Amino acid sequence: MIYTEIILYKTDSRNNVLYKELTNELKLNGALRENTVITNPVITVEISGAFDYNYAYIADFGRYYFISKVEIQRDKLFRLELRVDVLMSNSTTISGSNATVLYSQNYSNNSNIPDSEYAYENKEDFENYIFYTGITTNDYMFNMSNYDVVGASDYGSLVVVTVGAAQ
Amino acid sequence: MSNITIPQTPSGSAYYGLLNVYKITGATLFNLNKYLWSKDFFDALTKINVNPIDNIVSVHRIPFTVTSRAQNAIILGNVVTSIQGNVIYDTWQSVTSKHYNINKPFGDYRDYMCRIKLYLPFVGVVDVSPSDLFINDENDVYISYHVNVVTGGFIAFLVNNGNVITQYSGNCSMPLPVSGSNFSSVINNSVSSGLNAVGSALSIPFNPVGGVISAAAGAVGFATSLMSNAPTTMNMKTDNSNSFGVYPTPYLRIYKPRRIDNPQKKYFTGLPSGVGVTALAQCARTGLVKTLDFKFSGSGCTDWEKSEVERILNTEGVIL
Repeated sequence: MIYTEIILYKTDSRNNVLYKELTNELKLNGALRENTVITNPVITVEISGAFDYNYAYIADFGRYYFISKVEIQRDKLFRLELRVDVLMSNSTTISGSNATVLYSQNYSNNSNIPDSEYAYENKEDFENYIFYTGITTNDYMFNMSNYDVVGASDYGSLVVVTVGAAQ
Repeated sequence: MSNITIPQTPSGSAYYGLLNVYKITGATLFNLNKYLWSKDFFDALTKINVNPIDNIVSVHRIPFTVTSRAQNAIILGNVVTSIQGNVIYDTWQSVTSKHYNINKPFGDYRDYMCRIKLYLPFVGVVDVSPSDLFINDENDVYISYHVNVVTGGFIAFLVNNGNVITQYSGNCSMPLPVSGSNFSSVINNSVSSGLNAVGSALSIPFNPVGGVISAAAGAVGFATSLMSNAPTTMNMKTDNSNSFGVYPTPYLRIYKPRRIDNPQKKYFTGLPSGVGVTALAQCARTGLVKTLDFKFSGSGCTDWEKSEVERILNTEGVIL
C-alpha cells in the first residue's frame, strides 16, 4: 500500500474549462491501490463525507483528477476512482501554446468562413431582380400596324437593309 | 486595381457606302413590297438591276427603339424610290437596364453559397458567380446590350459597380420573311423573247396600223414567252426565327440557402474564427475555443494524455 497526499475539491466548472474554479479544499492522506494507473488511479480515503467532492489533486503525480466514482468501503472509508483532467493538469503549457483558432465563442469571429456545423434545409429561398431594358418581344409585333409608330418602345423597330447608291 | 469598364459603342456606320439602313413603319413595308411587285415590270427591270428583291438584304425587327435620323427616300440599287424611311446611321446602338442596388443577402459566408442565375433575352439562362455579384456589401448592378442593328448581333454586359463582370454574345434580330425568285433566269429568257418580238416587228414592212399590230403581237409573244419561262423555284431569303415571343426582360434570380439556426450555437460549438495565435492565452475569457490541427508537446505527459489534449482542443473545444 502506498500513501500519498490528496487534495479534494468541489468544482462546478464544466469539464472542458481549462482553469476550473475549485472550492471546499480538503487535504488528506490516501492509500493508493497497488498497480494503479497514473491517469486513472484508485485511492482509499478516510473522510466523514466524500460526497461533497468531485475533483482532486495529487501532488506526487502533478495532476488534477475528476472523481468519477465514489464507493463506500465502510463507515468513513471511501474508495475513489479518479480520471485525469488533462486540461487543468497542463493548463500552463496549453495557455502558452500557439495554435490556429478554428472556432471561437467570441474571439475574432469571421462570418465569411463557412460554418460546417450548421444544418441546411433541402430547399432554397429566392429573390428576383428584373432589369427592364426596353427590349420587347411582345405579341404586338405580329400586328404590323404597330410599326407605324416609329420609335414606339413597346414594339421595337422595323429595319430594312438595302444595297444601292449611298445616301 | 484597375476597373474593367464597359466600352463605348462605336459611332457611325460600319457599312457606310455599302449598305443603306432604314427604320420604317409597317405601312412603309407594304408600300415597298408593292413597289417591288409592281405590275410595271418593265419599269422595274429598267430602274432596278437584275433581281429587285436582291436589293433588300434583310427586313428584320430589332427589339428596342433604334435611334435614327430624318426621313429620306429609300434607295434600291440605283433607284431612288418614292418611299420614305428614317436613315439609321449608327450601326452599334445600346440599351441599358435600370440599375439595381443588390445587397449581400446574408452578410456572411452564406452569400457565397447562393446560386445565381441570370436570364438574358436571346442568350438564355447563365450562371453568375456570387463572388462577382457580391463584391461589396451594396452593389450597383445593371445590364447593357450593345447591338449591331444591321445584323442583330449583340454583346450583353453584366456590370457591377462600374466593372464588367461578364459578357455574352448573341443575336436579337427577328427576321421577317423576304421571298424571292430567280429573276435572273426570267430576265435572260424575257430579254431573248423580247428581242425576238422586236425582230418580228421589224421584219414586217412599214405599215402604221400593221406595225402597231405587229408590235402588239410581239409584246404578247414576249409575255407568253415570259410565262412559259417563268421560274419554278421560289426561295425565302430569311426565315422567321424563334426569337418571337421570348421573354423580353433580363432578370437575375438569387437562390439562397436555408440554414437551420441555433442562437445558442456559439456557446456550444463556437463560430468560425480562422486566426492564428502565438499563445492560446490570447483567447482568455472569450469563451469556447476550438483549434485546427493542434499539436500538444507537454513534458511529463503520457502519450495518451497528449492525444487527449489534442482531441479535446480540436473537436470539443476548451474554455480558456
